[in-house]
Amino acid sequence: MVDENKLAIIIILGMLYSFSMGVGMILLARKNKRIQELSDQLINEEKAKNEIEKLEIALATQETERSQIARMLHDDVGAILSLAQKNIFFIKKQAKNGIFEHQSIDLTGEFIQESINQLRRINKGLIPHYLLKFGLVKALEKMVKQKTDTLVDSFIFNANLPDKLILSDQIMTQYFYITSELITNLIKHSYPSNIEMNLNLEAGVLILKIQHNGIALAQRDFNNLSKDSDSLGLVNIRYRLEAINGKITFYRSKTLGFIEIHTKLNN
Amino acid sequence: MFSYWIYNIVLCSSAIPFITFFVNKRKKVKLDIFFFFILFRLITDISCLIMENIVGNSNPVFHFTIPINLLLIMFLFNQDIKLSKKLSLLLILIGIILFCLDLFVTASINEVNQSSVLYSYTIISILGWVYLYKSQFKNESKHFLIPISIYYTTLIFHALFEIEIENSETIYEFVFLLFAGLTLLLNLSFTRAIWLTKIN
Repeated sequence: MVDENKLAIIIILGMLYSFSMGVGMILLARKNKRIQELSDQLINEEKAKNEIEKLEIALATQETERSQIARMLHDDVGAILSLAQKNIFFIKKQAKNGIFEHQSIDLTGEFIQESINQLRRINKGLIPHYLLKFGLVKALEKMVKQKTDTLVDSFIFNANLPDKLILSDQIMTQYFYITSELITNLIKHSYPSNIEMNLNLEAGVLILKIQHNGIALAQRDFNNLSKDSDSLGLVNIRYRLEAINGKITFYRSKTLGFIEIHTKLNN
Repeated sequence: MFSYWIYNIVLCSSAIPFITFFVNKRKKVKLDIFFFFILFRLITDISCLIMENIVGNSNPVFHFTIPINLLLIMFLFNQDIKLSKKLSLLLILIGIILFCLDLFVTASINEVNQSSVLYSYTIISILGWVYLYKSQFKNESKHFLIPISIYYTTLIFHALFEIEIENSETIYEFVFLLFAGLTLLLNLSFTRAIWLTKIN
């Protein structure tokens, strides 16, 4: 009888022990889950903070550029135009008295010409002069050739755009700078010996394809890098793509790496 | 006499989750595995009640219901932890072998099918912990899979001494109260799970 009682107690205690162990494990697992959630939240907050910091850097750079442009406009163009205006007033005043100031008119013309030159110089700093003058194809070819000249064994560029195609300054500028950044990154980090670049228009979509035999990124690598790295270049690529509703794709084969930029043209 | 009434009440408690399926206006009755599992438990308990009152022994019922119970619970877990086909077949095969052994070799139809019960509860318990590890409480199935895991983990100890419990009235009187309490809790947890499940 005593043995039976003891056995009953052992069984009950065993069951209670198993039960409490089960409940305990559930509680621990829940706590663990909560910790995991909190750490995920912290990581996300940190990422968001980094994003904001990157954006701030981009904005600050933009602000600096703007201030620089404003300063140049004020100091160079503004000053010359004020002089031209003063001359015009003087010519006007003299004309009322019947005096024709031939020399002042010439001088004003020179001032205006100078301000035009200054404006051109500023403009050249904003958009590559070559890009505006000769278009995207030539500018890309020149820029990539310059960058790869002694560092790459072969560079091939094929462009197949319709003659009548007119690209907006916005698209040309963004494509130019994105390509420039990509080629710089390729040379710096991928060490390719051959680069081939193709620019085509397919069903209203402007496609720039860069093919190389260096260390290639996959789309996931690019996404992670552009999110996690502090590189302003990658952030700029993203912002520039957003500005033209563009898309960038990275993929690779066994021996080659590919980068494609797509933008749907409006007309 | 007291135990007898508790026994009946606990058996009848499996009707509560089943009724909840129809009472809960937020949820349309969905003929999924969980519904069949609840229905199966109700049928098992009714069968036990009938057998206990007519024959005075519910062991024959358990010989058949334990393997089916394991199969249904495996299906329930499989929705979340995706068991491999090979492993599932192996587990079922062992279950069938033990079922045959309990029926013809180690025991008879009127005796306790201890090896089947022990095997079944252990497998369910392991599946429960694997589920807990993998799902991280993310799925809605947690409302019924966690109580199942705790219940069967607790019952492993009960299954280990099932023959002793069956043969001794003193041990039975003691242990039965705990067993009945746990079963009642499980049925109430199922009721809660059905109540909490959102309409798809």
